[in-house]
Amino acid sequence: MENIIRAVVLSVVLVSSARAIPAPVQIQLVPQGQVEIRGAGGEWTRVSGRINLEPGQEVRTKDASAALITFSDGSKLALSPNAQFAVEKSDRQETTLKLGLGKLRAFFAGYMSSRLSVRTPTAVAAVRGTEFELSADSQGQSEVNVREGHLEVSDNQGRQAVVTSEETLRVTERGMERPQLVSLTDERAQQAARPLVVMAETGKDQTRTMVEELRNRELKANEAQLGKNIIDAFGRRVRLEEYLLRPAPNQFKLLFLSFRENRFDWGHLIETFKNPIPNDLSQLSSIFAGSFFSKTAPSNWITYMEFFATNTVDSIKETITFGDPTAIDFSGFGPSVGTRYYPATMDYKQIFSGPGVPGGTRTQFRLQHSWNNPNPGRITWQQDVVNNLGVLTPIFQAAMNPANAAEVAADGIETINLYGNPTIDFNTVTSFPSGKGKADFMSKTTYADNSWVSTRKILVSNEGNIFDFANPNADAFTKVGNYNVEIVVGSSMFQGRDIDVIIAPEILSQKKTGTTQPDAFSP
Amino acid sequence: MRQFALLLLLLLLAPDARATWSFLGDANLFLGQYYFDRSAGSLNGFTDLNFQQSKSFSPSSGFFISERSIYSGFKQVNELAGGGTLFQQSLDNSIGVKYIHRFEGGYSLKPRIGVRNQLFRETVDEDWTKGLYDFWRYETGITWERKTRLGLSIPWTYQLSYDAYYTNYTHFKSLAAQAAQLGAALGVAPNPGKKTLDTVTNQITYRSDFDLPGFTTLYGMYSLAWVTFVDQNIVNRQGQYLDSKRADTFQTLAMGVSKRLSDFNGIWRWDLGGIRPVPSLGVSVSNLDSNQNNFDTDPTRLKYIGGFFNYWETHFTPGIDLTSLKTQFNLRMVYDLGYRTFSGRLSQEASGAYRSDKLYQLTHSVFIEATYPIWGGLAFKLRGLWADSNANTDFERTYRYNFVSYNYFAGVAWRI
Repeated sequence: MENIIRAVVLSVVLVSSARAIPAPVQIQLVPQGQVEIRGAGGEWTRVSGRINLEPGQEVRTKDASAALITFSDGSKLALSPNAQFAVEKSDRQETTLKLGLGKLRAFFAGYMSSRLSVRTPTAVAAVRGTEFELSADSQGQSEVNVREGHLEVSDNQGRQAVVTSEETLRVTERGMERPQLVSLTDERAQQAARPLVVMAETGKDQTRTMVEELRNRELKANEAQLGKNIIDAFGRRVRLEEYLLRPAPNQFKLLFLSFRENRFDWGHLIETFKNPIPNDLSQLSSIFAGSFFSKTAPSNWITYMEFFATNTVDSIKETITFGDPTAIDFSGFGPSVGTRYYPATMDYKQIFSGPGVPGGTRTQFRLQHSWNNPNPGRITWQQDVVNNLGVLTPIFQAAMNPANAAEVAADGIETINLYGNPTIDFNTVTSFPSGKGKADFMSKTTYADNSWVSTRKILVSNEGNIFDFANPNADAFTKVGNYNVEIVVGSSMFQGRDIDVIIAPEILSQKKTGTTQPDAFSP
Repeated sequence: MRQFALLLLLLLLAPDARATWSFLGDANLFLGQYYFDRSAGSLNGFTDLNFQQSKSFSPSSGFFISERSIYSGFKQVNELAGGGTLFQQSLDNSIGVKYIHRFEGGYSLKPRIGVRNQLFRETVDEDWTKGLYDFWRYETGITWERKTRLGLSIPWTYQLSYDAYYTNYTHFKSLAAQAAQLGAALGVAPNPGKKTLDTVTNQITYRSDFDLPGFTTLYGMYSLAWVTFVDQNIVNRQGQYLDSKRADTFQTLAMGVSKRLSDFNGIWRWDLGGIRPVPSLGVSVSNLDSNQNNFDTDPTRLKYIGGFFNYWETHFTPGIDLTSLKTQFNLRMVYDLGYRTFSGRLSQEASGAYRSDKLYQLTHSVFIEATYPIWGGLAFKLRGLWADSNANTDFERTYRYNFVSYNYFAGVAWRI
């Protein structure tokens, strides 16, 4: 940036230090009738054809005669009968003309025009791209009529005025009068909707409407700022909306809606607490955290969490029910851990619904933790899955005394283990559909009854790019927080459909916290 | 599109329509490429067609029709922040009619009507006319103008304008409104409104233009707009949507000056054949004030932010225009420094956690355009833009506040 500023400053400095190199501007005289010219102090000579005019030469027109003076940029100047005119100076820097007597009408549009001035005995008019008339009479009075454009007029009293379209100005030996607008009934008045006016009006209208345009464009940016408009991993636009609802004083519901062309997926996260929750919901995270492993008895805690996602036909629901926090001795995890408050029970269920699901709804997977029940002084956890008959059946159970370091080190004592049993064991296969190095992870579990459930989790940017673990330029994991999580759930029970939602990673992290087994907790 | 066709037909069939029409216009056709951070977009096109037809009845009255049509295969720089290298094509058509009635003494009254349609294709699954952000804007306005002088020397034209706009996003409805059709399955439904982007804007603008001696022009403008969102409900501290509607005020104060300096012919020993420099400077301050708030629904944050959209923004825009008198080659360079500070919006960590600082954004951009006349009104043009944005926030999951982008175009321009 500094370089750019320096470049701009430098260019301005160069402009000021520039030097002028004189060069001629081609001016031609086209006589009509009796027109004469002379050099400085020379004799008047009649001109019959087109000739070049040089600085210092004078032109005069007689009665019933006129002259056209043309410039090399296409500008033109017409001299009236009985006019006296001179080219005083002409170089690259400036062209100065003089009207001693009579009237001229000028049309200047080219690049040279704005380096040109016309003098009369009492005024100097500097041209700024203009169509104008100038007259000088024998009493030294000059009159300027600007038809279109701008003239900068100076008088011999040192005063200066910019004269614009449809203005007229009289300059006498006493100086200039105030420029006047011509009347609309005057023959010098221009048409109301002429090109210069149209250009100016169009420009001003565009400036005003640009204010509305910018404001309107901001609305679209706001949609993106609020995370409402992103691209998914498959290049499709996804519109997202999330709403917070308060169905009960001790509950909130986060509703998330996602819409693509021809499909609508939605879901919710519900959290229910033991006691009413504060209006300032930013305090919820501390209540949530206090439900697990708190050193002191929490005053409020989570009792129920539900994650639900659907494509409006099929759905997956995960529920977790929490028992009241109970003081449990966790010193088996380390002498400094001591007694902590932990939910007495946790019951996680994964439930599928839809026309292709046997019975319309079934629980496919269940994980329970329980303190003191059925094993006193131990946490018992049990995993249930559907067996070959489609019936939810225990596949694994273990118990652990969290105060006993040996049991903790052994991950508890197994009481049921049916892994490997073909009537109930399931098989999970993982893959990277977008190739290794891409944050696109798929896990497919096939159960003993041949039903399967696949979950594909993709970290995707708001532009639809899948996070590239292998790209060292992507600022690696520091920017993972800037990616969305796209979850695509498929199942043999969904009859070829899938559920495809994009959610905030925070929803996942809370759900994970609620389902992590106690041996994985780090105090 | 039918509105355009009908309006054009009525105007062309007007009595004596072909008698004294004047035509103005220009067309720009470009090819180019755009880069966002390190990513390059594909080679794509940009066209901009402008036409005006005017007809005067007398020095007192006349009217003109103006049409503009822009196709862009690029994302514009002011939209970059929202979507990185998001693929985008847009088509922007507008037509308007303005009537001019002049009175003695330099007074004028200028009513106008217009309609604008903008179409977008932003994703691979979005077709023309089906874009989520396609909109129609209907506008009308009236300008009262006085041409007078400031003292003896300075011509002064001032305008007081009233404009009204109704913007209708054809396809955009809140998802909540669409989801409400699910009924009981959805449970308790929120009510943020349905057509949440549709607005009615009433705008008043005051503008003064001065022509100062020494080939200097100066303008100043103040605009105040009241924006009513026809169906966007206010969200409160508990994340609940109220019945009251969003209403914004948007005001802008802008000033600009340009001056033609003395021509120069060379730099040291380098004869450039005569260069005309015209430096310029623009300054603007704008402010958006809204009664809408925001509730961040991420479960780990659940943060209410009042006045989420409110901001102040300033721009400082110096530029220089250099024209070769010999070849008419023109080089234009504009630098823009922008600073936006949000009144309520907070800066965030990369994880999304809120900081106590208010969010601000600093932008720099440099625009360079070179034009070389080929023949008549036809010219070859090169354009380039470099833009850099920095903000004090690191959370960019959904929106890029920090980025570098640049683009270039090459093509031809034709002026009638």
